[in-house]
Amino acid sequence: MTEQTNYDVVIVGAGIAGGLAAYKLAQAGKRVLVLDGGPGIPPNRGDYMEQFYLAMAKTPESPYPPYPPGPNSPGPDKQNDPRAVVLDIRSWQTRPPTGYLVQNGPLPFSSTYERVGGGTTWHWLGTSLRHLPNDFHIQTSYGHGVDWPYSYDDLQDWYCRAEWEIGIAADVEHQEYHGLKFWNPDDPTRQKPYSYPMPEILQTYQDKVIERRLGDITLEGQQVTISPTPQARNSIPFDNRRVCAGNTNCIPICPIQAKYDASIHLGKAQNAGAEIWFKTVVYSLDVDTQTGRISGVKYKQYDDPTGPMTKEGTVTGDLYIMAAHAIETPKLLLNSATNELPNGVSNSSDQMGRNLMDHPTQLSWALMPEPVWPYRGPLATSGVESLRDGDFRKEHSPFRMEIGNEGWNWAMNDPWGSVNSLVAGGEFGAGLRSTLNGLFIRQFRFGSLVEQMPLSTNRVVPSKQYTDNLGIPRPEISYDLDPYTRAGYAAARKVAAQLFAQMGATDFTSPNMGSTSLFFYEDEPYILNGAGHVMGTYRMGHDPKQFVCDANQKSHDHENLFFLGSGVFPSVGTANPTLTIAATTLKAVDNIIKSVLK
Amino acid sequence: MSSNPDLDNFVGLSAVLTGFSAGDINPPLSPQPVSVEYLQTLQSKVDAALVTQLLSTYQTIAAQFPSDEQAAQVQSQILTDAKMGPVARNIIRMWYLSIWYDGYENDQVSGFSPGTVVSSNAYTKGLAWDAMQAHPMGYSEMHYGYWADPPQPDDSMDGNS
Repeated sequence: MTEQTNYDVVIVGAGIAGGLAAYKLAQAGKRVLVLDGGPGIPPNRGDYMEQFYLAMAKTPESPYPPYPPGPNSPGPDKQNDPRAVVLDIRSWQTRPPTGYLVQNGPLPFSSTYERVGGGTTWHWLGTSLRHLPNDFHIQTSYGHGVDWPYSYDDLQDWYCRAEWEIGIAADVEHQEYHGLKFWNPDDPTRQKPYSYPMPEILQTYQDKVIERRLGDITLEGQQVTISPTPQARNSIPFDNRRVCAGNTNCIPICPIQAKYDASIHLGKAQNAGAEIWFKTVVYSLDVDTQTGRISGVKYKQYDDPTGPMTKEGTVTGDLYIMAAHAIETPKLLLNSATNELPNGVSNSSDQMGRNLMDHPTQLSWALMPEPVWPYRGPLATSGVESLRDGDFRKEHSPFRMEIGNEGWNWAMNDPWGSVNSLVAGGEFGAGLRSTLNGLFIRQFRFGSLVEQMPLSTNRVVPSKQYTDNLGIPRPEISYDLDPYTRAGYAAARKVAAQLFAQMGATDFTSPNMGSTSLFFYEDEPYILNGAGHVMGTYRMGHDPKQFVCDANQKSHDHENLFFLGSGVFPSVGTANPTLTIAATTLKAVDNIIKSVLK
Repeated sequence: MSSNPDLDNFVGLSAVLTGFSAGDINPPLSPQPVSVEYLQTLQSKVDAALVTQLLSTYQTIAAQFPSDEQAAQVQSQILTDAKMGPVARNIIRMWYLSIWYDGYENDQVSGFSPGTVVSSNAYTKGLAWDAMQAHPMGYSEMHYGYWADPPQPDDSMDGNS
């Protein structure tokens, strides 16, 4: 059954890309409908906080509906809107799969996402680095990866606008490295200076100790410096939200919304007239075989997260925008295969769902020779950006080193890990308290986010065997790391060890040889960690044979189909993707408003 | 002292087990004393006779020994006892991490073991946060920028002031 809704634009996905697009399009007077499979945005975050406090494992997903991950959650085949969760990665080889993602390996894809109004920005860190100029043409500059269809200069203005939409705290003078240039986007001469909307977030005491202890050190021909990180959290009141109070909980949830999340732009979109339907799972697109245009979006609705389907329908619009990110989007388009389009929608290139990427994250942890007082302030306020670019990119992937501000929380599950191991070892009383104090206040880690190269075999397809409670196929994933990326991972580990030595820190990094995330490079063992960055499965580029969409993020196959999100990234650099998602979204939507829907 | 001898003995024993003073872990004017929740959790999870044995053993120690000698007595009489020891260790975990862990009877507990977070109130009062001189992750009562300086010395009641 078809509803004659006739929206100007139908957007699938209510995360940051869908939210920004809905806001801009509604502001421009377009009739906009957003569909999202998850529950809507709660009136306040109290219930999310309560669920977080009571969760045994404080994983990124722990605060969010419909269920906290864990043994009491219904299986993914029993939920209408299941999602990938960290706790399922350990058992990725189990069959039938216990997790939502059906993982074929040889390595587990290790990043997860929310399916809820506001999407995964609920538990993003807020790190908002720009891609570097060389990240846009790594094939041309270094002979690896895939070039973007445009340059940094073409995206600069949109980075500025995205930074003002989201609210980024940073000082330009600390961000002008590796050829990054900033100019006022309203000045065509590119001469007028640019300012971020808020001054940079104060660095932690720990950042300053690290900077002092590193002193002058050069690695791979680069001076190593500690840079304050541009962050989507308030250093001054911004957009009616308060300043960061240092809850040290950006992931899984900021208790006070000092960190941006996409619920903000969903609200603005609604105020501008956009409609949003939650608990509406899109599972297929219809294509008019005469014109090749998308002619409708098929959905299933539910009330109860494990209950029966309550409604099935099709909505129509002039234009369709996929903003369901890099796993759900290809799953749904490949699930739209018909006799006329046996490879699925927008897949004449056979690239839909391929080139899935993450920022594989190398964790190295140590005890500092003096107290650095972690677990205080935002989860990260600085990083080593020195090795994000350089001639070494001809040999191995670059990486950025995030300076973690949560001690060994990620690396060793602290405080739960150390308290338990000391108690098991017989410690108690004043001795226990003192031992813990000595450990906790000196803990430190680097998390090095490595650029992953695209592989056509790293792929998302709809499972033929496993479905959710609505009978919709679950994503089936094949995933591996290529040698160049592995070499970057190994280099990141080596550099972390060098920096620890330089600082007089005691390196405690040790790979768990029993881990299901173990891999090797040149016979050395490493543990794969995900960054939560799901990228690359509907990449953009000029050649319709190699790319799914063009530089305007329009499908090469269907005139009225557009793609948003990190799925369009042909290569992923080392910057956390959300800011670039926002910048590319604003750029694409501006083109839609000015040239397509005019 | 409260009018509840079980609570008094539980707080006294807990102070020895955790290394925090009774005043730290059971502030007299606290509107939501977590000690009451923890004692209730203990009583609901552990056989009543064993709880009574544990608390009365401590009561005897407290009556016979000055406070600076109680730790050695708690170690030799309680922590090394086959029945009381595992319960006492789970009480330490509960105070530090706000979790009552399953599988404690055989001391088969790690940071990934199943269990129950006693309450959200308890989570925000875990002693692990005080031991790190920080605040519960997700519950800061501090203000912007406090992280740029070291915390106050560790002699205050709640470590995060």
